[in-house]
Amino acid sequence: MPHESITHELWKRAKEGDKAAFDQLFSIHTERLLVFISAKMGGRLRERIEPQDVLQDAYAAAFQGFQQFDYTDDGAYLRWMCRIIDNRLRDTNDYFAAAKRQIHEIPRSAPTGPVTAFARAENRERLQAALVLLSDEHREVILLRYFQGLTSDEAAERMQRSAGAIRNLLSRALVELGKQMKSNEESHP
Amino acid sequence: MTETNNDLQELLERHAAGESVDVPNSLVADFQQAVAADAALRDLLDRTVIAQPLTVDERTPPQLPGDYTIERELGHGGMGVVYLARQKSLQREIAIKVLRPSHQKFRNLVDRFLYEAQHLGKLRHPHIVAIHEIGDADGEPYFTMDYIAGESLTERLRRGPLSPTQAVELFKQVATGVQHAHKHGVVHRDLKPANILLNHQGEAFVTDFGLARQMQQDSSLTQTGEVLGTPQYMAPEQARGETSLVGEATDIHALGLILFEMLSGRPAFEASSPADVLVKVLHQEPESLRRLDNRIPRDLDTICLKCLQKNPTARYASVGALLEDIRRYEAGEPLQAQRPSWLSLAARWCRRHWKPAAAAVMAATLAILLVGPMFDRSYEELVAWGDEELATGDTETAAQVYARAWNKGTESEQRELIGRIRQVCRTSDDPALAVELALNVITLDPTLSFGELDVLIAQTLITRERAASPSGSIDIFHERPRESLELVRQRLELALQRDVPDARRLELEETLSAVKLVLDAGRPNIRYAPDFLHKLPTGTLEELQALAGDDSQPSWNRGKAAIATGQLLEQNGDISGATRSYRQAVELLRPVYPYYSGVRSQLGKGMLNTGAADAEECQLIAGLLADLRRVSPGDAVSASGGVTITLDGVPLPSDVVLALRLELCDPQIASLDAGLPYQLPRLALAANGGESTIGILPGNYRLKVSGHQARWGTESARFMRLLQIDTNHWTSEVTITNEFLKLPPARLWLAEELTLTTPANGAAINLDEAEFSWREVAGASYYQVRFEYTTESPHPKSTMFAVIRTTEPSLRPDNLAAADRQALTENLLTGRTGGWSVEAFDADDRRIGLSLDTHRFVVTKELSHEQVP
Repeated sequence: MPHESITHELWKRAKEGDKAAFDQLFSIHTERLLVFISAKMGGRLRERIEPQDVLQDAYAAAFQGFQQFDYTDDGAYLRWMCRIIDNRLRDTNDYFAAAKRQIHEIPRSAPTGPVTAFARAENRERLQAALVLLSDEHREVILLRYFQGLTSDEAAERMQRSAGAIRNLLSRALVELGKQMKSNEESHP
Repeated sequence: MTETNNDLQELLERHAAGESVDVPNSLVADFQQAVAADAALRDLLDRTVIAQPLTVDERTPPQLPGDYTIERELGHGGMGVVYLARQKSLQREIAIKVLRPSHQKFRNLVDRFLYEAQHLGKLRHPHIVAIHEIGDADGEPYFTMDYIAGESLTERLRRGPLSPTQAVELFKQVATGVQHAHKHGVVHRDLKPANILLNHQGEAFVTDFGLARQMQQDSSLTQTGEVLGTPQYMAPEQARGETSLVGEATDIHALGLILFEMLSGRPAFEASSPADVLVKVLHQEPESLRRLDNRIPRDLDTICLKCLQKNPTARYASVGALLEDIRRYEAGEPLQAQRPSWLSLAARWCRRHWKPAAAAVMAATLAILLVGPMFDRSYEELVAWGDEELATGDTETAAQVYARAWNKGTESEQRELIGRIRQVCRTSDDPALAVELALNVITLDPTLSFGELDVLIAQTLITRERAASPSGSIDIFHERPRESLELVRQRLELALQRDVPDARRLELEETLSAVKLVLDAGRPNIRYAPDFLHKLPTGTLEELQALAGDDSQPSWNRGKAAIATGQLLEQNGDISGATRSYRQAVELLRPVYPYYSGVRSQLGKGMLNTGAADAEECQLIAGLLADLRRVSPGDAVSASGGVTITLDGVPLPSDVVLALRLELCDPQIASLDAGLPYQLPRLALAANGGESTIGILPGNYRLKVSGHQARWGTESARFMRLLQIDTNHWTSEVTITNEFLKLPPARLWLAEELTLTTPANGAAINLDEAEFSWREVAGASYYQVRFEYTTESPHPKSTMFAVIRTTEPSLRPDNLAAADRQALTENLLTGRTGGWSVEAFDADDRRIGLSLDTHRFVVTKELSHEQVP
């Protein structure tokens, strides 16, 4: 294979204890994680919690648990982080117990250069805005399947439905997401 | 409908699997939308970055139209490869940049790039590298542009910085190029030394205008060698991804960075990793150019600083304005840009010494503290300055200046400033600054009210207390000076004197009791009584007598009036009258508050073992007894008895201090509340194996334990949660003589830990379908389920709103009685974090089990208002 993915390279270095590599690995995923966090929190929760705070918390959790993370493919890191965030958000009280919060210096944003960050931000904002407008179950199924990388069966268990129902729900959710993105685009040319 | 859905689902799945599908007309719109959404999600998520650059061998020159002959490769970068070519028809050397997307997926990007390049091709300026022709060679888009024989600014700077004269000359050329583009509505967005080319005549050319944006949209495209490229030349708004703020000011920031680097030979923001660079770009000020090299003119430093302001609106308004200051510098005229004032210098100092944990409030404090050595105005000058700002309505500046004056002033000068500071605090739009100022003032004058700000000041103080405490709450075991807590107490009391909404009032009152508990922790007694409770009333003899005889008043208040009457009569020499009044006072007070001495306890700590009256109310009674004895020894109440309390059962860990809350009153009194205007429980400290005594005036009393209070170390948290104290076997009435009555030992035991089974902690639940269940506790006759929800603003706070009784070890929300159901419907809203916990009781209402943790859940669907059939 002529190319080795940067995430894999960084993972190897981070695994060997290179903190800078760990930070880089994290920072090239931050924007996507922020989309996940903001969608995951939904409207009501978002008014009370800063997505950046959640991200910071996830960073700390990832750092602690990094040795348990195994690189299976290029998407594994993102899915792993999404699951961490999911777990953290599920117990918001624990998360917000002020005593347990520590402030960590987190690497932020994409390190790939200004223009990349710029273009990505446009893309990300469009998706993020559309995700928020979905119904809860539509959003949930997309987050589970795409971001957290669950199979239909796993998602079915989480959402307490049959796998068939999940697949059906996902197709409806995608249609809705497409519609929202389109109408956003039309209203903000 | 379902059938259509299934069809769509199948089509999408087959499409995702790479099959070609035939979409019926009725589904085309939905199908396309779903595919677009899928693509957008994958685009966001599957962005795998290629680390290894293409090797040179893999690059073969593209097949260009016959007019061009490629001579050699000039270089390659993030966007493709640049060749030097000869254009036969025009007999000139040109540069050709070839973009080599390797994947069909990026076709749209390429199209967009070509469209933009045509637009950009119209930019013509002596200091912009012109684009001539745009084309497509076998699917590889390319464009031709002027060939600049020379080097890039990056290469030039490797040999060292430029002299100020050289730097300014080149900088003017670059800036006029950028200015030209801005006039045509084009923002570069990626200005950096690598994008500035210098020819052999020493002229500068800006290149790569607006191109990068399109081509770097997907980083896997050709991020050769620059994958983790440095954000060194980003403006803060770019680094934050604030697309709406990226504009001309972004280029001006970049120009500032370029000028900085030209003059100093090094980037303004340098660090070992991109993440660290980013932190500096966002939060840190560049070093002073003059500190790096004091030959650099001060005006150029000023111009750089103005360009490099973090806030885009604080930079030059246009490149034209920047060029005007450059002209002024060259002409020796004063600049339009001001040196940053000492205030922003202070802020710069803070940012230069940026710490990740530094909160805004901390920064404000630092600004106030650190500005001192930077500025040499006298206290008087500062006050005059502040007054001036205040007169012109600039409260914010006035506040800053007064803060500075405060730190310069002596204590008497500070007192003189208090009035002014109060005024700016009241009118300031910046509550953080106002609180900071007020915090200074209240250390000098703790009782001065800041009106509405008091609540905020109290909250700020509490937040800091919490932050300083290892447990995250106000920590009663924490050994440290109590002054700040004392300030909190005073602030809360002031805040409560104001008109506050009920909900807020309750919260403040609870906090106040907690603070008082902590403040009193070092004392043998813990009490909640406000000061007015033990203060004697004042007035004329008639008024006091009238009050003492007023049946409608609580007997506590009447008793105090009788003491005051007695003291007045005693002063007037009316001993028999005084005796009557003191006796009246004893008769009024004893039934509701029969305590005359301190609590003795064998805790092994001397300070807890005192016989002297401690609480102020208790001192009041002791004083009354002394008064009576003085005026009429024959009437003196002999008080030398009380009750003795011991414990048995599970021993207390050593870090626990436990006190039982005793309520004693005359059996004739139906409710203690009527006699005492405020709950005044007496706390009897309890200890392992030892006795503790509490002095009580002789008489008959109804005895009740209304609960217990405790302090404990973190290790005993679980113990304290499970601890149950049983005093049911105590008699309900006691007769106190002049001896200590030994009560049967209070029994301590631990309740069973109750296990919550479903839903799992942290589960997302639909309340219409959820069932809460827990493991049965042997001997339980009923359970109480407590529901609460958590809000995070302004502080994490749990609100308990329902306690539901059930005999089964489970509960279904959709199956509740109307009132309970309504409580859940109103409070467990969709999206909220709820919590539940369970306690088990036996037939005698004794708590025999409890869940230690409150399990959390997220409500994905709130309970329907109507019962689901």
